[in-house]
Amino acid sequence: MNALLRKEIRDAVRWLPLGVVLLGVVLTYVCRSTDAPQLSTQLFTVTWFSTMLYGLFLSLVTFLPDEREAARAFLIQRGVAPEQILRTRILVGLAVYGLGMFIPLGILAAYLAAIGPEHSPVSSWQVVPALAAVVAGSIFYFAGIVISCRSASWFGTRLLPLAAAVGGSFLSISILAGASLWVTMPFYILSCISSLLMAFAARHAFVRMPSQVSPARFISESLVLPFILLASSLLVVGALGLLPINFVSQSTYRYAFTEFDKDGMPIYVVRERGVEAFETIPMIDPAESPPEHIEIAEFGTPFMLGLLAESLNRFDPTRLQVMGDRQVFLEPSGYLLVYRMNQGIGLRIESVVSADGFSLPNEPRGKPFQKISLVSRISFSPIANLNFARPNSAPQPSNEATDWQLVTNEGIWKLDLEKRTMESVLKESIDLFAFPSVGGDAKIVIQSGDSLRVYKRDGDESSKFSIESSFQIAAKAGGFLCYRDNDNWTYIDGYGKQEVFNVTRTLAGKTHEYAFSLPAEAFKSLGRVREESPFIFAALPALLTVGSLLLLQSFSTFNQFEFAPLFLQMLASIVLTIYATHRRGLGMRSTVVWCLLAGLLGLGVPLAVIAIYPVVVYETCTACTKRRRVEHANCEYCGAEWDTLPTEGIEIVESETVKKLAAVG
Amino acid sequence: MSSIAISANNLTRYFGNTPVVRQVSFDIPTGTVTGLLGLNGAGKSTLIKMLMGLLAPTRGSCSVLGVDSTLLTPSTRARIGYTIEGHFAYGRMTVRESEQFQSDSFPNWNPTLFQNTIERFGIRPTARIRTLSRGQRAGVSIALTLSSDPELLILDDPALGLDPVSRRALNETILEFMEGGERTVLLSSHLLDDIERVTDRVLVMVDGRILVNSSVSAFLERVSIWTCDSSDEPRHIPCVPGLIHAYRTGRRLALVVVDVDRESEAAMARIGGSTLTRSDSSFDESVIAYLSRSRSSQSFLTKNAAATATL
Repeated sequence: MNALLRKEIRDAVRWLPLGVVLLGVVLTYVCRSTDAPQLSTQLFTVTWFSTMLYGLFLSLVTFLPDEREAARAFLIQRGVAPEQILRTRILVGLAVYGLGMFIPLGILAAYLAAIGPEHSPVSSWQVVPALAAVVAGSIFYFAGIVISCRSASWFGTRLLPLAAAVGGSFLSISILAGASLWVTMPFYILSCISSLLMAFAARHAFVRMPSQVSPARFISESLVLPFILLASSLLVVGALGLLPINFVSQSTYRYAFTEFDKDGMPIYVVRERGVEAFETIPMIDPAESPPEHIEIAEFGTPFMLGLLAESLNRFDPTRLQVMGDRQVFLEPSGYLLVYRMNQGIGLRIESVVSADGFSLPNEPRGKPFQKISLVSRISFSPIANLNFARPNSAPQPSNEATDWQLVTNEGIWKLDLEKRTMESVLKESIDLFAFPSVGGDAKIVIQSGDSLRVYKRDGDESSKFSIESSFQIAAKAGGFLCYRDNDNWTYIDGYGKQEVFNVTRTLAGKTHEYAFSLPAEAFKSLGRVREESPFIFAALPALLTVGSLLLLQSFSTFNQFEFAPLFLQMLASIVLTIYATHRRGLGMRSTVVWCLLAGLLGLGVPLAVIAIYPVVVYETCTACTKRRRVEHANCEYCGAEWDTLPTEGIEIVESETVKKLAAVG
Repeated sequence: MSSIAISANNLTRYFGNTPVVRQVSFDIPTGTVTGLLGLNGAGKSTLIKMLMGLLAPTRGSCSVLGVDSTLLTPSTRARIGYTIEGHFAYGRMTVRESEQFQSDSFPNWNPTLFQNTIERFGIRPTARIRTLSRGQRAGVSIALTLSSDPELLILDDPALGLDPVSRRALNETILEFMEGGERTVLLSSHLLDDIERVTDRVLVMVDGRILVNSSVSAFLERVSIWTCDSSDEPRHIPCVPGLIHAYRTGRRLALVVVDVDRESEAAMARIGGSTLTRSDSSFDESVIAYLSRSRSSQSFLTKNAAATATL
């Protein structure tokens, strides 16, 4: 085994510099041209491509030469099991693949750790998604083995496993999704599992004992390789089918907006392309009679209440504001980093803001912010210039470094970046927060639990607020408030795309609560207006199409669906599958199973049948004149054995002598 | 130990729609040297690959050392020495590294035998395989095969590229290898002299079929060569029972016949009359007669290459 190990190391290690250089060059380019907030995404993307190129290349150059007839015979004909040979080869191959990818990423991580956060808001943590991509990208290495060892035509289905590799590894992109770990990790784990499956398929393709000839039945000795080929076929057909959609689809969208009339009654407005009012529906109590004429006017000040959120980007800093020569970033760990551009030396960190206040970069940091508001009057930033929200007052001189407030789940703070001080404006628990959507006075609305509080500015002091109104609502996760005063306001629980809204209206101090159901027609008119291209139903598996439809309808009923193209696709898939299974000589049971799969999974199935099963050779049976399969000892129709070859009268066969010799032994 | 070292039963292999090996059945007893003869493309190497479990039979079965070839375990493989057609070895390795690579996988490795064999071929252990001549590479390949001390030796055209001296050395080695009497050799070759010299039995493959499966002595006894004066073209001669092949040598017509009886002798007399005489039959002429059934053995310059007859 040591000699085999040495041979594999020698074969594979010479390609190590190629991987290091390939990824190293690409990473250098990315780091020079990419901004810190996008760095992890860019690193992941280029690493993903590099794993595809390098993983495939490495397995092809190490496995293909040994798949030549003589070379394979030399390798296999020894007192070592083929599985053991493969294990050694994979061990070495994966080590070289891993080193080829991890060395440049490791150097980059060290570099980022060295320059961040002093010179730039970067950290070695931003390399983590790329490292995850390397792990999931091992699927390309295994796919290369399958491609090398599977006997199929290069112009046929030999490269098919690559599609499954692309699909499987692409799932790892979930690690970048701005969602909780409970959502992203299952996808990433699925990506790793697909890599493991490809490894099993590689084993089957390499070992390929003659007893494991290509499966003639649905249940074969290894279902992994057929599964990989089926998945690949579905992906290829899906991709080819979806490709034309971008060219033929001319869909427009309709969205719902919530506005208010002059009496504070909410109005549901459906707009096409976000501008034209397609439909206007007053959100009245079903017991009331609908108004004859709707006049949209300012009843009060509208507020859209947004949830305070944790930073969803777990790897990159978020650039919050550029204030003159200062830039403020929110670190994924919950700290604000304040940078200042210095002439000559570039960006340098100035201070760190935590829930406990300012600190210098080299000082211990305080408690991180848990939640901040990502919605503000002027930008999607937790730092808002409250002076800006006073259109009725005269413009006031604003100091970019001192007039900024920060909304967190523990209150609102006024920051002075010059003096590095943090002053409490409001100190109370905040779940949802809103500035006025349009115009209005300098007011803010805060929701904590089911309590909604409206604060107004005290005089000209931008940092002084006092409570103006407080009322109870049955709110869930945000909605719209239209507020005039404590006795006149309307609150709608929820946003645009839902069927039932809980409305709370208070007019002249009298509160009225009711549920408003949106008419089904109005609800269905939302979303994509024009019909989907039939191409989409010809490309997506029926199971996926119908499944997603059912899933969608369990949440909403607004989507239109055309079944005819779907049935046509199912029919075409089944017909093609019957043809393919017949050509491959499959039995009735296998044909039925594949046809069922074709009905569910679509046009990829016949391609999978062609890829999985070898072509069957037939010869005419001399007993029943039907075409019989050459690999069967008996005719599948009449049971006849093969005729003995006609003798020519010149054969010299001494079988008796052999028996005697054998008996003597 | 099984008394049958190699066995094939209705072994058939198709490549596409073409049957390359057709319903081949034979047994090779332990302790014999069997020569496998056939033209290029007759199916010899395909047959050997199936025996070695490197290629799945389309139909039928075969076994080596009592184990189904499709289920050969590493321990069984370690008992088999197999010289691959073309003498494959890793070009980047040195001869010594090649030896280490093989010795790791074969428990009965004999380093002295390896050393002696490569010395006989004048090969330095430090030489890289890719720098060796074709003959030297063949020497390394044979050394790697023999040094595993196998019970069964399957040699696929081992003399390819060997000079006459090395060929003789190889033959001597095979005979020496067989001295214990418990080993078996299957030797595929185009060199009829070598086959005759070292083999006990002979298998002749023609177009994927085994036409001869016999001891060499019985083969020579049963095949006879007759010559006569005749102006008939070989392909126009009347039917002779047991006629393997007819060809012209100058004015004489040669007829190679198996199992001559009165009927076939009378038929030949009708062609040659009183000029019909029995010649001394040789191994190579007898084998060539079989092999010529599927392809002409006439000069490439002869316009009508079908000037020989096979009936």
